[in-house]
Amino acid sequence: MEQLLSRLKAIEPNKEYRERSRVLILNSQQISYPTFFNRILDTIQYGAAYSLAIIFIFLLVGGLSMFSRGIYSPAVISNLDPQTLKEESENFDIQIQLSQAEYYENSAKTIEIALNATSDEIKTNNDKERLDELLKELTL
Amino acid sequence: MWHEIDSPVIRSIMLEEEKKHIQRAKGGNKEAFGLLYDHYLPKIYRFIFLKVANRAEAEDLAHEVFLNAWQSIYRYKDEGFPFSSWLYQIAKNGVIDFYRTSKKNIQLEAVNEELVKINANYPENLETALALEKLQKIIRLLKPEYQDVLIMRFVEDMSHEEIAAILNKSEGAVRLIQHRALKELKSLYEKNSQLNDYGTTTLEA
Repeated sequence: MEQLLSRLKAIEPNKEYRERSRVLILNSQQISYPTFFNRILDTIQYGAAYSLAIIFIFLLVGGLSMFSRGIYSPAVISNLDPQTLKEESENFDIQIQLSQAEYYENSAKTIEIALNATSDEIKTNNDKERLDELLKELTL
Repeated sequence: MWHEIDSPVIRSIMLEEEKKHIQRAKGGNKEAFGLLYDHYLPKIYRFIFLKVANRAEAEDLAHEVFLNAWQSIYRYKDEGFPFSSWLYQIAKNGVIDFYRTSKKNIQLEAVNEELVKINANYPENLETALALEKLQKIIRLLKPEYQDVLIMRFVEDMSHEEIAAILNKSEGAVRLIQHRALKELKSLYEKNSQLNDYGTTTLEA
């Protein structure tokens, strides 16, 4: 059986194929051996791609709190920022107090005027009654 | 072109010569790679042909093997084995990919024409030619691992050490595979001879 197997050596490629394939292979572009500089460039290229992807994902999910306060983070929503909300609420209280003081001041003046007017009216009413009484006395 | 000589001294000189050609080919020397191609193409072609059973496909795969080798020869590292070990590894992977992607089942009867053409080259009588044709058919019925070992050991006269390096196995494992492969080959060959005696031409594993 071993002898029979060794006779299979007679199998050989066709001569035309041999020459055609040889020409095609040797005329194809050989991939150049990567130099030290090329290897570094490749490493940097891959490193940079991975770093950018990680930074992007990091920013997308919120990032550090200092990023969330800044303008660089796409995840920042100013309406939900606790610092901004606190400042807004404090300003709101001051505005309420100022408007109350203004209201009290204005209303005090109005009341004073109203009271004076009422007292004058009462005064005039009292005089009229007095005059009526005096007229009654005179007529009697 | 090198000649097949068994002398260890001449073999080592040839290996030294081969190393020089490889170094020149790594530097893009076409002539040097051409010499490697001329020397190894018949072996690689034979290895592939005995596994795929079709001349056109064997030619395409052998071409791919040498094209890959030429384009990526800078990756080749000399680990004390002949350049052929590296080429056989590429060829072996190429054949695996070929069966994986094409999912072809070998139609034994369909390759008869190819086998007859090849057998016409044998300087033997008709009986021997038929025996060789039958042998080729039976080899293809064996497990790929058995095929590899039988072809490398008995057709290409490679050492167990070289075969072990190509197949990533120990020498002991290669010897064991060789023993089992030969046993199965003989069994199938005899079984087929008996079937033929009864007028049947079908080959079954």
